[in-house]
Amino acid sequence: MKNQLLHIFRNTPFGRETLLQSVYFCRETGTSLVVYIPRHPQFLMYFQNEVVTVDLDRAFLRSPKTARKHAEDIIRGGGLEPNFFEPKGFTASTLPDIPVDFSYMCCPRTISDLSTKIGLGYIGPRVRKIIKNCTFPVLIPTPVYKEWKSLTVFFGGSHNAIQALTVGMKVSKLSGFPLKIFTQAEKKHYSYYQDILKKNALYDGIEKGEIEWLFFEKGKFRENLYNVPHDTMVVVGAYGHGLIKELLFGSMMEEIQTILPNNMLIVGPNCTP
Amino acid sequence: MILNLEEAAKLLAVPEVTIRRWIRQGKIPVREGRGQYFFVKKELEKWARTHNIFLHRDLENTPSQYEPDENALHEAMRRGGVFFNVEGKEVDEVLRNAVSLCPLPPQVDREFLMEMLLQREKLASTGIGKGVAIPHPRYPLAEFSNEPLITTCFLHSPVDFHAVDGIPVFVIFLMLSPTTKAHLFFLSRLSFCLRDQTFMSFLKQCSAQEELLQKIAEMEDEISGEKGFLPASPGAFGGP
Amino acid sequence: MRRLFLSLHERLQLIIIASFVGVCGGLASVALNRSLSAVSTALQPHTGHWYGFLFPACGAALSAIFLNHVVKDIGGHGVPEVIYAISRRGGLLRLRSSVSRLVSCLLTIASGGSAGPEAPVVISGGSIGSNIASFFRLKDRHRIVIVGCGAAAAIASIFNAPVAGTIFALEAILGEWTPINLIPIAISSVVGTEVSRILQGNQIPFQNRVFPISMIDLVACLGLAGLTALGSVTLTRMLKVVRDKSNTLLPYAWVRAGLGGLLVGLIGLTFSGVLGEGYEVIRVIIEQQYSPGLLIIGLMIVAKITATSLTIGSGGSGGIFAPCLVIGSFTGLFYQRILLDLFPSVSWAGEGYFALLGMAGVISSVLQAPLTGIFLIVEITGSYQVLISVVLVSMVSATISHLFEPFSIYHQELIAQGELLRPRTDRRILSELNMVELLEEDCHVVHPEMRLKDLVATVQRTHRNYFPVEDSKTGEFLGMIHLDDIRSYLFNPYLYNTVLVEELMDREVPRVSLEDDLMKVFELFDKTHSWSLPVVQNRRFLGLISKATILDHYRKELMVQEEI
Repeated sequence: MKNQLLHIFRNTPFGRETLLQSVYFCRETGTSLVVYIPRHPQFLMYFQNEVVTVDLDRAFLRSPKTARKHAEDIIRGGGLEPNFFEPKGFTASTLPDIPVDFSYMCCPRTISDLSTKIGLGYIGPRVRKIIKNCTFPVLIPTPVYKEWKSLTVFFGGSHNAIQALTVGMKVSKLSGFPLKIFTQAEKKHYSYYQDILKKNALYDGIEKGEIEWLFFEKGKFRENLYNVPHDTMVVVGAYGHGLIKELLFGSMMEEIQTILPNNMLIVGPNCTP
Repeated sequence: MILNLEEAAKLLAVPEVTIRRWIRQGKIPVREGRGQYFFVKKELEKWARTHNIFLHRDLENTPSQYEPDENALHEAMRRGGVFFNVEGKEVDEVLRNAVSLCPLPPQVDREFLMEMLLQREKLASTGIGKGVAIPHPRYPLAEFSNEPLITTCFLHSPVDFHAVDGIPVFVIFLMLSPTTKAHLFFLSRLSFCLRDQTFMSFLKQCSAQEELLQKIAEMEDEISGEKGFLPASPGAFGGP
Repeated sequence: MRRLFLSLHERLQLIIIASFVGVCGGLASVALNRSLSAVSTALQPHTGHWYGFLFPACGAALSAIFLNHVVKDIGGHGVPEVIYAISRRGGLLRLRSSVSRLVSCLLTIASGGSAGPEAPVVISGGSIGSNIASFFRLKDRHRIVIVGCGAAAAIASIFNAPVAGTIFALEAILGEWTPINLIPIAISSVVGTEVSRILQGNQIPFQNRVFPISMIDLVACLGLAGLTALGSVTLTRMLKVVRDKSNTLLPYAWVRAGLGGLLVGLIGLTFSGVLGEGYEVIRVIIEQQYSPGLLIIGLMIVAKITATSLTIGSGGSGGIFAPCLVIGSFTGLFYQRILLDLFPSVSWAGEGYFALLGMAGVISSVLQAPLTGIFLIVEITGSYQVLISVVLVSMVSATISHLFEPFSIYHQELIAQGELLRPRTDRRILSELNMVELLEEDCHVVHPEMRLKDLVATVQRTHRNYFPVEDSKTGEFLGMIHLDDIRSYLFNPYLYNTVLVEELMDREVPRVSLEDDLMKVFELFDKTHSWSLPVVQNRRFLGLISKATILDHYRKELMVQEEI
């Protein structure tokens, strides 16, 4: 009941699709939806150790008169009650502060740049900053509304992957959708991953057969990704390793977001599920 | 000793959200590692002392207060023991014999206990009617025993306890509880049993310890079963 | 490296970071100072031409465009933002603020806008401090101190006045004096000053002669204090008027700033002395070389006040310090001329002396920070012999202007929004406590179709006095039952099976939501005389919030804040 998802409404057809996606997420998980209709070209998010300035794409501010009605229609159409967020704190009179204690936030792949840039493999710099700092998972929806019927968590054994798995389990429990775990073994044995899961008390579901574990020892990661169903929500941890290591070797999140067109729930390094 | 967030929150008796905020604001000494927070207990205690913050010591194994549970009554009665044919013609005499039978730790001053019991009788008779008396000290005293005791004595011959209904008493339950809460708990449980007609008639012909305790245990299961009208449920004692 | 650093004692950490921030803050202000003089020199040959009056307009418009569209750093003057960040956001400031304001301020002032370079260096220094503190993963409490260090270093180095920098940071920015923030700020201030001295030489900005001060001068000071108070109140009010009017009349920031600049340029055609930061004029006055008569001086005061209000009020980027000094020195001079005319026989202490006092008076009143005014004036003029008169004028002037304008221009905006939260105040503590922390969730929910009998059973089981009523199907919150209201029915067994919870509950009970401000919640407590209120979100009951729990947390919060 206390779970809330923040959605920043863009009053365009594209924004409609993302809002539909948020509505679906909220309805399935019993989360309450909080919609912010921007009135200023920027807002600030004060995280624990950094303040993130979000410059909004112009489309967010377009036709403010119809925005509220459009949003209400979409939300009511999805069977939820509209609930709009009014910023209370202002750093300057035209610079609202958005609180950061939500349980989820919905961000399209880009929030500052024009939506023409949206495509696989691109996540805007502001969205990345939010992911890096936030304590909640970030929902990156597909550009077009698509329902999901299961959850797939990518598990590579890191601390962040454990967090992602915890989030995945929580969402799966709330929504009642089945959970799958996807692991691409990196020169390590099955038991290595098993031990990590057991140590963190996450193995029960697999043992009982409630959770399916897709474990790949062979083949390339990119190729194996084809086994991820089309109607699943991907849950993945971001920035699990250091920045330098990620620049050199690439990260799992980057590959996934380049290849999979699914809905994604990204669990940042500061996330506290 | 290293504590995690949850344990620290418990120790300081504040919600985890508050601890997280204190960490962010830099008000509380904390260590960070692998994206998680740790507290060194010594540091935390020192910090709490300098800021006058009260610590909840639940984490340590300090003796906690007695909390009655579902089988508390018959366990207390087992500890206290059941005795038959207890002699005595007067209230004083009966109580003296009961106190001497009561399995108390050796350091307990039985004379003092006796005095406390008599004081209570002077205020008002503990004979609650139907031939039953529940003698107990005026104040619940932990020094008699840390765990509650109920000593059951079936009297050799009924004694006039100046009970409310004037019926001579044939059985006494000597109750020693460490806290008022526990005392009230046993009082209400016992009175629940004594209200039961079949139990009363059973009591009148009872002749063996195990028999009595068995019956009490059954009655207690019954009470725990119907939570609705529980005179005092165990949960009520746990509240903050 | 960072790990090694983090193992040091917290005070040592702070001191090291503070000196580092001092260097950066010093460099920022030296950079601004240097580029200001460079650009001004470059523009110098053109200012005499007919088109010279357009410069301030172009500069202000460019600066607005730069802020709003190039670096996208929309915001106010700077100092209120720093104070807001400190009192509300744990001292977090944006990285872009560390450069953006310097550039925009350069454009505004070098082109002739009437403002000073102080506010931009304060936010720049503060922002540098904040980001360095974040890099070292300092927590809010320490980050705030480091932001103060940045501001102190910037002010200290731009005026070559370490004590004034320290006191400004403590008095105007942080609002509290504790050992934990005094030491790092003083250190950073000293380091910042030293950086500027190494790069620019140790100059006292306004060197003056020794004044022969007599008793009568001290008495005369009091009159001056009245005049400076008047001047500063006028300035503060005009700033407010220009800002409000221009904001409502002109929607585009660059048009606003441009128009403001144009008007300043027009004023500058007649009174060229009002343009720019105006340190040259002050120097002339302090050295007792300013010759024009009483009327001109009076007009100069009015012109400077107008020009400053237009520049800053229209959205130009710049600080209030320098204009205050100019206005103050003219006011002092004005007063001295009047004295000369009225009492020609008395030998007064000289123009410089009164100009200096005038500066102290105006700056103390406008900032409502008398200590900052006193030490700033003493340090930038290097004359400790006038200390007594300076203290006198500053204090009296600040007191008088306080009657009319109780808050400094830095705080006005924040106070209007209710966001000025000084440390250890009631508002501050309430703003820090979060509704989620105070929520009591161990409540027993009852349903409307339950009978009184079931309610009595629930009452027996719990230690609560309030029972939320929820619809058993939808989970919607319907109302509350307060034990006090139903006490008389509780002991009436005849009603046990006939009365329903629905009939007992209070449907109109006031409710609060998780986003509500605690101040509001307290108002509601007072209004309804209740001890507990239900927290309802999306028509669902989340928990209770009660005065007793708030007191508990409130007290803990106070205790935790104590610095030991």
